[in-house]
Amino acid sequence: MASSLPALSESEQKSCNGESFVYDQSGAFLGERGTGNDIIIASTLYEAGYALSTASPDIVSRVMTTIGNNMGIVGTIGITYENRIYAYHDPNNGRIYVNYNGDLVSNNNYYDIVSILRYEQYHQMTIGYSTTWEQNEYQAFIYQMNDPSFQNVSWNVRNETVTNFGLLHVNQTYNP
Amino acid sequence: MKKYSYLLLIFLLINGTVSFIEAQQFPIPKDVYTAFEFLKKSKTSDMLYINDTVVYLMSNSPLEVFPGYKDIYESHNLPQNLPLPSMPLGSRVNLPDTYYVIWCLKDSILYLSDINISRASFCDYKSFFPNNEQYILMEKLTKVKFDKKYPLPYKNELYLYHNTIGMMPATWYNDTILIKISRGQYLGGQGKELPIFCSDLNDTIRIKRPAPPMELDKWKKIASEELVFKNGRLISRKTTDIY
Repeated sequence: MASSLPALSESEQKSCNGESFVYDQSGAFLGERGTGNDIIIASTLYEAGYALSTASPDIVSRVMTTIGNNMGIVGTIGITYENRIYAYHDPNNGRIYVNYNGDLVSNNNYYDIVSILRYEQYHQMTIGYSTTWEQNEYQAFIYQMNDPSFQNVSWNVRNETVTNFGLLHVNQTYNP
Repeated sequence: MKKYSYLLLIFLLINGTVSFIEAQQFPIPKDVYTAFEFLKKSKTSDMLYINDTVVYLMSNSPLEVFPGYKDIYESHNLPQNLPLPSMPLGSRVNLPDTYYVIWCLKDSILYLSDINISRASFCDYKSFFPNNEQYILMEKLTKVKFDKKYPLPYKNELYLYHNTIGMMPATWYNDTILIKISRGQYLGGQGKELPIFCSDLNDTIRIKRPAPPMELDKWKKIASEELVFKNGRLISRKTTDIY
């Protein structure tokens, strides 16, 4: 059924989901205002501020940590500089890292960020898993898609996630 | 009449139950059964640059001919057994490899141009390879040297590359690979330049983020190409019907 639902357009997202999410430089959440699904860094709720995509790595890390901790993610969220990836979980230290050089930060979409962090949160929760890596990825996508944030993500993240999930579904070897 | 009412009731019950079950299942896009053949076939995260700027995904690594090539950096504490990162589908083949190789096709010759660690910041390589040991170990594996007479041709994304000793011609390679253009091209970057501190250089560098990835629906309609090599030289390139 969900596959037949049309994705929300940008204007629909704004009218459905309301407002920009405002954080200060320490990463504290100040509130919501105006229209949009982006994250704004400002000193007060009503200061113009600037987009998360142009904030320094330290500020991005603090804002991501606030969002992550509110979702139940443990620890601070680190910053990495890589080619293309959105984020990853490092089982060696338990931390989640967001790629400052990647599309998740440049796109600055609050719901995309929450949704991708949900996927990484599953990896954090299942550290040392005993299944195959394909099964672990498969379950991570289910966890991500089950979260309400997935209803509001951008078309790109929605399309990529269900396709990734579908490819794992098709390619996996099952032991019924 | 009553009989038909019972039949209608049974039909509605069955129909409702089927709809309920369908609603509980996660959506599997129908085209994953027929499309994305390239991604299903690919066994490597390696990337290939052609003509300096356009980057492609690869079906196989030219290093496959060397047994144990995936483990040559075992003693360097590279991140092991990591869950896959989240990334835009089709920008890189997402596999649990500890490292991947950047190849370059220049003047019909295939070169190994650089080695990237999966999930290491591009400014943190010295913590794994303080003396650039990745290149020495690769030379031991392939028995071919990196050579400054084959300089890296990249004009873009320089910060992603660590190689200062020239490329290695893949003279051992006699095989066929499929390639498909990556969704993620740099294209001069987007937005304003951003300063980041690069620990390898002990300095602040300025980066521009890559251009937004190509639309997935557009990308999946692009055919892959077949490249045939003899002694590392391209002898055939043709478009396939694999998407």
